[in-house]
Amino acid sequence: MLAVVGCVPQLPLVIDSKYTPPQKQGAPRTPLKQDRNCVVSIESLIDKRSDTSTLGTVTGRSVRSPTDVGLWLRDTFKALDTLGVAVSDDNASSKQTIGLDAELVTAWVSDLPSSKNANIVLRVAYHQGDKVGEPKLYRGAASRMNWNAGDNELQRLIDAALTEILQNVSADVQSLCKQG
Amino acid sequence: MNKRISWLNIALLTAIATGCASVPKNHALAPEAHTIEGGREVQISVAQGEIKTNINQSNVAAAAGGGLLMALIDAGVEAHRAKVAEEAVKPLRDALVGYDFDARAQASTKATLEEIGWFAPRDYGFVKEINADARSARLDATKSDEMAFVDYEYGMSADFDAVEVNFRVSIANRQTPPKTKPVTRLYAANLVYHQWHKVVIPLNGAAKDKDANVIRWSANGAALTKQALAASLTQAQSMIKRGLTQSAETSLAIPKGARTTAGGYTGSLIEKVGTTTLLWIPIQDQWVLIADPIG
Repeated sequence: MLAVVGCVPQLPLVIDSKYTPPQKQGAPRTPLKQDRNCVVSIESLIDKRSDTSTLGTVTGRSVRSPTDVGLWLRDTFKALDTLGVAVSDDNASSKQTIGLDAELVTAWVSDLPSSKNANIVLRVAYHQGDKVGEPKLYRGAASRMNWNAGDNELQRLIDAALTEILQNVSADVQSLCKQG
Repeated sequence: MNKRISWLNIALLTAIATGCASVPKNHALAPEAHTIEGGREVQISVAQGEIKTNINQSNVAAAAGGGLLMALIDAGVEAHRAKVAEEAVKPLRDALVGYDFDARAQASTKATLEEIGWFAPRDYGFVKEINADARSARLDATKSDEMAFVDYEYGMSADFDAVEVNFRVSIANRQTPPKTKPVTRLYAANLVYHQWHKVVIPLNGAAKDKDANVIRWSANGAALTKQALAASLTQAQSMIKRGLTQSAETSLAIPKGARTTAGGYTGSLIEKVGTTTLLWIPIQDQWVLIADPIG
């Protein structure tokens, strides 16, 4: 209802490949302390979607995937370091390294009257040396009031969905670190 | 099942009928228009990543006689309902990971169109995004005089008591009407043919509690949902065929059917076979088939 744009379509939005964690108003931006003895190494990032270009439509506005999905996912996983998980891009030596392989299963946006929604599903597998874990699905979802399907509100919607995934990945990685 | 919002209507009317034209009555193809030299290219779309949710719209503003404050209350209520629905559907979406509705929709549509000999589908394309510019550009590129579009959308009813598949079949001319923009070829009034459809597969003995219904739809790898979607596609194909092959006389008689209510929908009765009811809903100009409940 609030997103009425008459009959003038807005230009498509290409989501930025830079992930920005949502910040609560007034909250200090201090990353959680990382355990440098346990490092996550991002090893493979694969886009398994049948259509890698589109994320969907919100109030008639096309929303497109970042031009470099690999970069987008890598930047997102690097933000694990704001959640207490040390991240390495280059298998840097550490007492304990957890390898992370991720597949993007789906990523899409939609609208309902007065709202916009995002869903992202990643299949993540961890391995430590020869120990390979079962892949696990992580879903990030966000639903917000839709004002005018603007650039910032759509970008923040996607980032909010990614944040939910990161929080759950972070919890699992920290649990693996403790198990040794 | 109360009032439903047709997502496909909203999405497509926003994206394509940007001229806000009134709905025409081009719901029948005259026999002389059946055959097109060189056949018709076909584009199929499923513009969603997973099963969709739906909500009942809030009508505070309408009840209160309008006003910005009331509209804001409606927006807040609807946004909250959407959030609840999006949360409730998560187990079902997780259970459906790997289920490929898109491939099934493409396969069944191809089979149906090929059964209609005179339709002569020649090439098929598939897209995940519908927008007027891209569709108009696709029309420019076709080698046929006409091009057909079959757009699907699948989701849950607002109360999670039914699976619903919306779809629209349209045929557009490659030629742009004189003194108009190319996109006007896609306006409902200028289409050679178009018909909105919906198939509703209710959940037998559905609860009032959304979460309880989601548990049933999600159980055993979403077995019931997959069964409902397969049944929807089967029904959809017979509706596509019926729509494309009906005569103008049959089309014009549809609004004169007896006023009937079934599965929460009220419209003109087109047909009732056993417990399956086919209605025409005037306000959406849409055929709605309420099938046998499952589960």
